[in-house]
Amino acid sequence: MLYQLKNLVKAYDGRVVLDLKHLFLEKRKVIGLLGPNGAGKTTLLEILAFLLPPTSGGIWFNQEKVHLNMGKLMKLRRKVVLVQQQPILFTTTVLKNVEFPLKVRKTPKAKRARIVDELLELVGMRSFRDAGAHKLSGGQTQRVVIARALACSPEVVLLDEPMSSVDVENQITIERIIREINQIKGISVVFTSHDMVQTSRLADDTIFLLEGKVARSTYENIFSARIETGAGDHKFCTLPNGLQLKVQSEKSGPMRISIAPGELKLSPNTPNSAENTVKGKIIQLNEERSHVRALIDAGVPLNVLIPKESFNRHDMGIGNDVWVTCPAESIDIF
Amino acid sequence: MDFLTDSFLSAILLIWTLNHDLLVIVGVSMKVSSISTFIASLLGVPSGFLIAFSEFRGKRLVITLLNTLLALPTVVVGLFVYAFISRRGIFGTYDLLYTQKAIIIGQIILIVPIITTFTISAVSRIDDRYRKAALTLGANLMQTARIIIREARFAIMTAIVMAFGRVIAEVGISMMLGGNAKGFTRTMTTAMALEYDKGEFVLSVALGTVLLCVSFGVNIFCNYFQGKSRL
Amino acid sequence: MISLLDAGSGQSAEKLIKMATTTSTENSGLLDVLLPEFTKETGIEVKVFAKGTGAAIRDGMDGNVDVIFVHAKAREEKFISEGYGSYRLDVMHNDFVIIGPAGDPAKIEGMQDAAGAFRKMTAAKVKFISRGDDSGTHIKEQALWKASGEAMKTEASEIIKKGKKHALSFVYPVGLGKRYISIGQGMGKTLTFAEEKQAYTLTDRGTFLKYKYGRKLGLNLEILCEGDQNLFNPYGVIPVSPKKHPHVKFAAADRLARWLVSAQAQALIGQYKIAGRQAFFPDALPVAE
Repeated sequence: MLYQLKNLVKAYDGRVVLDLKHLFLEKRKVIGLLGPNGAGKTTLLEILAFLLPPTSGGIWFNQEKVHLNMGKLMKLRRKVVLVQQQPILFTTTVLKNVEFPLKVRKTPKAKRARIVDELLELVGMRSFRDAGAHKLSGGQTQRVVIARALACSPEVVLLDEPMSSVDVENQITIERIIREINQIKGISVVFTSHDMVQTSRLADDTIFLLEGKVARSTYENIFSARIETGAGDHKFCTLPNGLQLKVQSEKSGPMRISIAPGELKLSPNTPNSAENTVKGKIIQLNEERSHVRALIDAGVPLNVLIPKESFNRHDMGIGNDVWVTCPAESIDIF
Repeated sequence: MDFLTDSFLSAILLIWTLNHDLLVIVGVSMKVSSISTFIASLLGVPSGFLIAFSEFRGKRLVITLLNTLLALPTVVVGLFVYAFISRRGIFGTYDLLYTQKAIIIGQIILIVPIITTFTISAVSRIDDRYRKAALTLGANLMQTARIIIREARFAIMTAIVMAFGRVIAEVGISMMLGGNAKGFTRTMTTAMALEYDKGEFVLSVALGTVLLCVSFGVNIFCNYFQGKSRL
Repeated sequence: MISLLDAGSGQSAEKLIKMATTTSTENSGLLDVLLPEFTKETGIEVKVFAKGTGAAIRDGMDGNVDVIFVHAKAREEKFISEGYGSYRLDVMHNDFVIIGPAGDPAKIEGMQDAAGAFRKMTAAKVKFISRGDDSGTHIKEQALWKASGEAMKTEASEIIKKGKKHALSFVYPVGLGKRYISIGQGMGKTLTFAEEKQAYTLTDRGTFLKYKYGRKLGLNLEILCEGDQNLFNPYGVIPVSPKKHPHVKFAAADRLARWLVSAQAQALIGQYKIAGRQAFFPDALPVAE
């Protein structure tokens, strides 16, 4: 287990930014941290990078407890490198920037030159070796920053919104780099994003962060609904379009509900139990590593996540009619 | 009016011909002020850096105190040091008074607050991302400090040049602690202050011209560095 | 030298005369003791104008005063030879002394030979502080160095005094080199500098006495060499000649001049103390009545 966080809280002046009861991050995986702005993603990454101390709680790195003492933290920081959201290069040449981590680790001169060349080649910035770092474009800067990060020979690379401020071409390059370093060099990667599609393309595992907490479901399939008591003392919620779904809840009145896409079930034919089933049309299909994500128009947009094998068993395509079933217990109310 | 023009022209001649007396006096000023600026920088820049980056109880008080010390009058510094190093003072046996060393000590005390406060300001203005970047790349405290100081180098240079400008033109410390001894502690300013009415008017005008040029040069450098630091 | 005691037989036409003297004479406070006695005796009031030696002599030449009382013998004699002054009487002298640290590393204590003392100071390579300001003391110091016979180095410079160029040169003994410190400041500052550095210097006795005995923290230096004629600073009184300037009050000026060399005045001069010690030495021989 790469990281274990237990009861980790980060608060600023009484305002709680992170509240994680448990969080586990596995080694050698590409992990995506998904969440809207303000969810605490950057703070969490900085804590994982040992740049920020938690207010309370414990961190274990590689099964060892992390103690907040200067010397030990520096050793850990040499294993984990963070690529910031708006990354910054030192005002000197590209070469000197990428060389910095090697100099800090007292790598001999000849070896430094070789490593720098290799890394610049990897990120496609070899020709910019002697250029002034501040003259580069956003995408170019991003790539040099990654090369510099890799010069640390880290076990873990953390990236904060690596794709949000660059153009498509650079995004593709960065995705390639992430895959390469994970698969070829075995480096664990944790990146944050607020883009579902990108994340799902890249990540082995996705963790959702909402208001500083790990959310059970994504923030998709979120609707306003009114909860009322109906026939038979059952509670149900009414969505804006009139759709009614049975729910399990003590609450009443206007609420917000969310349904994890993975809990929704798809079937090409009318399912046997009609409870909480709605008919819709497939309007979008996205292939992910081990799942297929479908966007269904059922009067409200529904995101459904199904394992590839299940999907391939049926012949479902865009424009097909499907039935979506939502178990009452899967509806989160908040 | 003729007297003034004559004197001024004679003064230019003194400068042009690199008059020996003039050169010796300018040399003493430059030597003493350079040394004091250098040592004050060695003390002030790291101090400023440490203060900017540490969190401690009296931090705001220290910064306020330093800001107050910016306005130290030179005669106060001179008197203070005099009390310590005159023969009757605690360090009397070191024979420090009326030497270049004494002037240097006084000037260091004068400009350390300038360099420290400006360093604090320069370093605080540096984007925190540099610090985080250096740390995450595995730098220890010293290496991180070097990176930040490097990023702030132009602003820090401005502070150092300004400090030099302050000491090259001060009179109080040089006079009270130096004694105007010819060839040793006769600086541009003490010479101008004490020799002008003894018939050395032309020399004083020449020294004044040189001093103005130095101040001018200092200002040009400051502007240059300030411009660079805003990029 | 004839001294006539003319007490009481008053044919003093005027009751007020003007005297030009030097600032150091006035600063010594001696005149504040002497002149009232003269006024008591003769009823003649003396108005004192104190300036630099040159300016005082000039006043005499211009006839702006009736009598001059300065201590620049060569210039005084010229004043008379050029006809501006009637006659000169030796009144008193004060003197310069060589002072230094109590330990006296140059071993000049008790010497009466100033030039010789300067030679010993050079040989002992002690620190010497010079006023370096072209004042009377400085000029005397330079004269003594030249008289000492030590190898001298000359530093020449051109200064502008009163709008005119003067070539100035000052000498310093090669043997002392860096230990000869010229500070370009007044006597007081020179004394404190010398004390600080525990060095030797030349000073007039009056200022020394003030600094040594006249203040709380007395100067930590001692008189080591005194009494050499060359260290004397003689004062002469010269009534301005009525031949050049008929309007001067010669009779009254003459009375003042002769009174200054009278037994009474000479006694007062000898008794006058600065910080408890004698500073002026009467020079006129008392005449038996």
